[in-house]
Amino acid sequence: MKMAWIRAFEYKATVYGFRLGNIVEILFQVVIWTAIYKSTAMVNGYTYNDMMTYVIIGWLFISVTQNYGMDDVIGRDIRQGTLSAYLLKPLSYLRYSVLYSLGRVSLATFSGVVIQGFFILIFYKHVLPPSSVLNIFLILVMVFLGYFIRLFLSIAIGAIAFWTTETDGLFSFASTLIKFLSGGFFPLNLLPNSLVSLSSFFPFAYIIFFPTQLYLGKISTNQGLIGIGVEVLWLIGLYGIIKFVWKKGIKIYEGVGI
Amino acid sequence: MIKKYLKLWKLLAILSAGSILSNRIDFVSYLFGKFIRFGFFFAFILAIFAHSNSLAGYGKYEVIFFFLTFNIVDTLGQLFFRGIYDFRNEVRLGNFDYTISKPVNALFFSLSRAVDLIDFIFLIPIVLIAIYVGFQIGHATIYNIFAYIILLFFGLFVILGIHIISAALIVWKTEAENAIWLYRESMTIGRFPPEIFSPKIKFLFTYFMPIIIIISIPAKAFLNMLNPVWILISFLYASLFLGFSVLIWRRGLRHYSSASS
Repeated sequence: MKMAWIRAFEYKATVYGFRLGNIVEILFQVVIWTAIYKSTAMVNGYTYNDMMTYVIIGWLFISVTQNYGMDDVIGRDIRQGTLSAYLLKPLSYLRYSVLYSLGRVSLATFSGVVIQGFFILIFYKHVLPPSSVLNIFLILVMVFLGYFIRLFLSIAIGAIAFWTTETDGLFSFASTLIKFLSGGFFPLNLLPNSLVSLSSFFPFAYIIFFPTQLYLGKISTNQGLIGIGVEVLWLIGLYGIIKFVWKKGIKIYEGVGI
Repeated sequence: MIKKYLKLWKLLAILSAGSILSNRIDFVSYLFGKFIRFGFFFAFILAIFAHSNSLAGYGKYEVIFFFLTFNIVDTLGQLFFRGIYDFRNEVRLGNFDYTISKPVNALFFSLSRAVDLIDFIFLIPIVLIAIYVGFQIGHATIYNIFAYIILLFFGLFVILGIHIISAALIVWKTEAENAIWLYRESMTIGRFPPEIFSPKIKFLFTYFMPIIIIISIPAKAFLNMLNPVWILISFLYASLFLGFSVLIWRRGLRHYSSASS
């Protein structure tokens, strides 16, 4: 964790630039929705305040569940052979990846909370409070599990580098797909109902969309609990997939550069 | 001179296409990624118009036309100047030393060395959809189409200027890679008509980060909603901005400290 913090502070301009990009993206969404609500009071069951809350609170969830390219970090370690150094150490590389990612996300959580606090202050009239105290607890659990779902997905995707050196396109594709399917650009229920129902069977929507729906009270506490159950099942499934893929991958790992 | 650089660009494009096609998984993944991003935003616009008849006074096809113009311009920028995304590494690893020692313009070589075939392929359906949407809008005259194409060129000059400034900043301070990403993030405001923004934001994105000049002005020319004086303003802005960026680049080069020596 300490290593991740040191690295982040070493590349301050990168961190500031990234955050500035986030601010532009949030402002863009706020402006778009403000313009849309000038001609209508309701969009598919969302009032203006619902939508502002979705954008601002949703971005908080994006910030804390992101792992900032762990797939790329793992893929690079495999491709460049730096994985070999970790294999020699009395430390599981997968465990190291989880801890390293936690270090990275702790800084992101801090800066993300600061930025979202700033946005909540500016738009305090339009950001709604959470639907209930119990839901706050469920949301915390959901977001916590959502972080690990995203991380496990990244580790599984990063492990593709065992089989091919062409990983950049795959990582970029996966990142775009995950952001959209998790509701990072707009609420998924603006799309046809069949797609929303389909999304509830996949892990992506539980990273942003379902926690914000719970926050807004658009799904019941029971549905939230079911969502947590689905997340746990996916985590177990993804863990199994990672273990299987890693075991197979290590067998064909060539350790480039040794 | 121009013939020499056209020949060089063609050669770099062929080499780059060969490199892209040799990585088939990357090629397919990047292409699918682009179509998915496009498809989702397209669905988003359709979803907005399922609940509203207009956006800032524009109808569905007009808003789609802004979105398509954004995609055309953004893709052209990446198609021609993709080299900027690897430029930081070139400078950091000292490879830029080899570039400046070549008998060609270092800036041209650095920006053009990675002509993107994927963007070219992506561009084809986008242009076809834009033509279809143009017919649906219906009222564009030959003058509108001509003004649209000319203004797209001015927009591309501004994009070139932004890429040159980003390259200069990287030479100046290797870590300044984010300048180009700030531009990419800002470009996203061009997905929608500028009327949705407040006058202050419009002013900011017209003159300081000129996304409105790059995207919205051409789109408005096509939609016959542009005061012709904006053609002159765009021309002057693009010329001055490009000239200014070259000055910054020359200044930046003086600060270049070779990483490999």
